Order: sequence, then C-alpha cells, then structure tokens
Amino acid sequence: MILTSFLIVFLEKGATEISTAFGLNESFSDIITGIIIFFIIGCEFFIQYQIKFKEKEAAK
Amino acid sequence: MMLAGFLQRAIMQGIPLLFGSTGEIITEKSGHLNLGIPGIMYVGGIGGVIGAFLYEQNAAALNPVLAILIPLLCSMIGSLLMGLIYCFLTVTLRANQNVTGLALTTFGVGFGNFFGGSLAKLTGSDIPSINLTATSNFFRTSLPFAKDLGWFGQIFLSHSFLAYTAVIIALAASFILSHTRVGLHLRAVGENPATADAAGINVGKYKYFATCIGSVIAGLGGLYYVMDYANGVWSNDGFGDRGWLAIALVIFAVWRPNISILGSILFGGLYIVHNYILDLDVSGQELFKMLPYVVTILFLVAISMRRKREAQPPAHLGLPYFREER
Repeated sequence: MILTSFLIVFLEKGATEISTAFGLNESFSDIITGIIIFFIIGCEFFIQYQIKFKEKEAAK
Repeated sequence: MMLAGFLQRAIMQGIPLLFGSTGEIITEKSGHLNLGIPGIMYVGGIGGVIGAFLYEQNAAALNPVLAILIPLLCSMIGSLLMGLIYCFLTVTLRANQNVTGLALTTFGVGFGNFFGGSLAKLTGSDIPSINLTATSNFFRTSLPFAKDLGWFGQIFLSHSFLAYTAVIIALAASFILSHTRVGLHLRAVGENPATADAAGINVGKYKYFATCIGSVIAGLGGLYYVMDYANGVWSNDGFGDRGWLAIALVIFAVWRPNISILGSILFGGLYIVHNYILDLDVSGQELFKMLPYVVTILFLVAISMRRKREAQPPAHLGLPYFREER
C-alpha cells in the first residue's frame, strides 16, 4: 500500500514536472496519470490469464 | 415571481444531473458501476467546446444548423470514446470497475481542463476561459411565445431544446427498460449474467451497448452545462462536482429514469437554494451547499433500513462476468 501510494504520487509529480518543462497546462499531469493507470489496470488481465490463439494451433 | 425564477433556475441546474443520471442508470442496469461519469461529462463538455471553437474560427458566417450539429457530434464522439475505454477495460479485460471508473474521472477532468486551458491560450485572452457566445445563442434558442405565458412559460417553456431532449431521453429510457424486450434482456444481464447467457442473450454486446449509450447521454449533460447554463463560457473546473451528484441521483431515483426527472429538479433546487435565502453569511451558504449530499445520505440510510425489493440495485452491479468461471 505504501509502495503504490508512493508510485502514484511520484507519477503525478513527475508528470507535473514534464508539463512545466514543456510549458504545458498543469492539468496535463492528470491526463498522463490517467493513461498510466489505464494501462496498469489493463495489464492485470494479462497477469492472471494467458492468451492462447486457437487458429494457430489448429493450423499446426 | 421569485418562485417562478427559482424553479426555472432549479430546472436549468437539474438538466445536467438528469443527463448524467439517465446515462448512469442505463449503464448500471447492465451491471456496470461507471464511476467515470464526472470525467465523461467533462469530456462531453470540452468536446462540444472544441467543435464549436473550430467552427467559429474557420467559418465566415455561422449556419445555425451546423453550429448546433458540429458541437453535438464532437461531444458525442468524445464521450463515446470514453465509454469505449471503460467498456474495453471492464467488459473485455474484466478489470475492477471502481478503479477503472476513478481513473476515467481523473483522465476526463484532466482532459477537459487541459484542452480548455490550451484553447484559452490560443485565443490569447488574459482570462483563462473560452467564450463561445455565438454558438451558445443557437443552443439557447427557446420557444418564441414562452415570454407571453407568464409564470407557466417561464418555468416550463423557456428552456432550450437540449433540456427537453433530456426529459424525452429519460422517459424513453424508462419505457424501454420496463416495457420492451430489449429492456428485459438488459435487466437480466444486470441481475444475473450467467442466467442471461444461458438464455441465449449476448451478454458482452448488451454490456457494451448499454455502457456506450449511457456515456453518450451523460456527455450531453456536459454539453448542456457549457452551452446553455454557462452561456458558452468554458472555465476550468467550472463544471464542479455535478458528475458525482448525478451518480448520487441514481440511488435517489432508485434506478428509475422517470423518477430521476423529479429528483434532478429537486437536486438542482437544493444546489442553488443558498442564493435565494436572504441574509446568509458565508458559513451559512456553505451549510446550504451541503444539502444535496445530506439528502442523499439520509435517503441511502432509509433505503437500506427498509430493504424494499423494488429499491435494490441490480444484483450483479460491480462484479465482472466470466463465462468460464460461472
């Protein structure tokens, strides 16, 4: 829990740093954090399940 | 006349909530708790703003039909994409719905404020807001004879076409959910997807369609807020916490869009009642701003104590459905 909270805060601060470095709006950090969280959430599926393609096996 | 003015403002406040809660009810009926509604409403609003901004900048003279259609389409596409992100993560990848929804809210609010701020920078004005009064005037066109009908016209007929659309959508959604085969299937998917699947209903398709249609409807709420309520002025964070209020309204309306019409007007009234009570100091105002949330909490307590069978959420709300694990 401590690790994840630090991860999120570091992400957010880093994103804010990026946005100030490139002269962007400060809300840009929200977008980056959101996108990264989307990918973290999405990869949970691939941790739990393994994808096997049926068609390829049938062809062999 | 003050009461008529109050009711008119209450309805105007309530319409974004009505859009949001109708969309959320349709989504929740398919068993998906979409906490991304605030973000989707922001994206819907900024989508309309971007469309209107580009059209106002590039067109020599504004065509009324195009000036309405372009923002409307942009807003719907924006919220549809947000709905698709949510669907893909929760339906296809079976992710946790609460976390996905909250991430969607973070993303959506950031998206809205980022493009809002960037567009404001493009116009080169000092104030961090975008002014789209010309487009907003087309959106705000109301019935011409509304002013002649006194208080009745002021309360019921002085609104723009999006407000009536909201009521029509809510009534249509309520009819479809309770009186048609599609609605029955949708409710079956929300209550018990395994049984629905065994009965030959395509669960994934219903979940996708319900969530996407729900997000598009919710996105229109953001468009209504920018174009109608705020007179076409986008200011960052101006939309506030109305998205969360829309989700609270779903519980208040016990998952029925037709009750949600009255609920939204009530919530809209509670939202602005602090402006109409004379001689209030700042702390008193803040206390009155608390009212909609207090009402929701009390209603939740009452509902969970009474345990009526009709007033329960869909049984499979918030749970992912695995066909292989049933």
